[in-house]
Amino acid sequence: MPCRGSRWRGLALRHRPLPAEAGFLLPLALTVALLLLLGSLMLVSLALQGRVQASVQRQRRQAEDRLMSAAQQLAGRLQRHCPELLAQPHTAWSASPCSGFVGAESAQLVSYQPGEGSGELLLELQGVEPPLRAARAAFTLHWQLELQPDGEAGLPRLTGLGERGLRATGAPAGQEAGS
Amino acid sequence: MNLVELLVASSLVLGSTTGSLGIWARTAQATHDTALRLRQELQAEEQLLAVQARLQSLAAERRAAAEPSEPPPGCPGLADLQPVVPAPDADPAATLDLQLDATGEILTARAAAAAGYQRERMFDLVVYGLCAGAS
Repeated sequence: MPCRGSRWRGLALRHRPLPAEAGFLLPLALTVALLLLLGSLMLVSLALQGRVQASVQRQRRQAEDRLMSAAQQLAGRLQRHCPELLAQPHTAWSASPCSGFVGAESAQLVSYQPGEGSGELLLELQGVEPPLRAARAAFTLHWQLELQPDGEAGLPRLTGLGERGLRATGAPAGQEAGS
Repeated sequence: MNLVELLVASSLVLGSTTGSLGIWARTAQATHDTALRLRQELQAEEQLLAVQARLQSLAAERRAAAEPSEPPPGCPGLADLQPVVPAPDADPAATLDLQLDATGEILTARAAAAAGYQRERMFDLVVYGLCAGAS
């Protein structure tokens, strides 16, 4: 006659799981799947963020190109038609008879402040769709006074144009825009 | 553990792993494409800046060599305006095209890369003192 205790021990080994093991596999699999999903979502969001940043940079460069071309156009017109305005602030330009020549098609003059041998020019894009609308950039116009044959200083003559970067809308010429 | 639980758990892990691998592969491809585009854009930027630097250096050279008694030399030609590239790139990501207008005073620089990316800047040689600006 078999022992009663050994019979129960055999049944337990064959059939009944330990309480700690019961149903642990499904929660573990769920956790692993969730972690994989979260990791994938994080990677996708990082890639998307990179794309958005690249797109913003592209638009920024486009604005810089347009503003630079406009600054070249305006400076060239100034030099050709009314170089004396290079030594005057933009507020005095409207009184000049050649003020009609001053300007650029794609940008609007915001300000011009002359200094010693240079002037700070601030332009704003116009006629463009957002987000490029109202993008502003500052430039430095370098010039020197031409000497007359009698030794006196004559009209200013441009010698170069420096790019000083985009500016926040409404900011003064010396303030950098956030990148 | 029973068989149903085992089947559900393994298919869950297998499905999520396969899906994640697909997402990772696509993300890696997108990141690679973005990096390639950034390289092209960077090279286009460098080429445009090189044109500007060339104009400034040419203007400085002319100012240094100018004699007060001599008349100023005429506008430079396209050959003089080509920027100096530090080292030839066997596989350039962007190409530069320079054009002078009919007056010879307005220079248009276009840097183009693959996939239609293009940047364009206009330079007035009068602004750099390279032309008299008679036009």
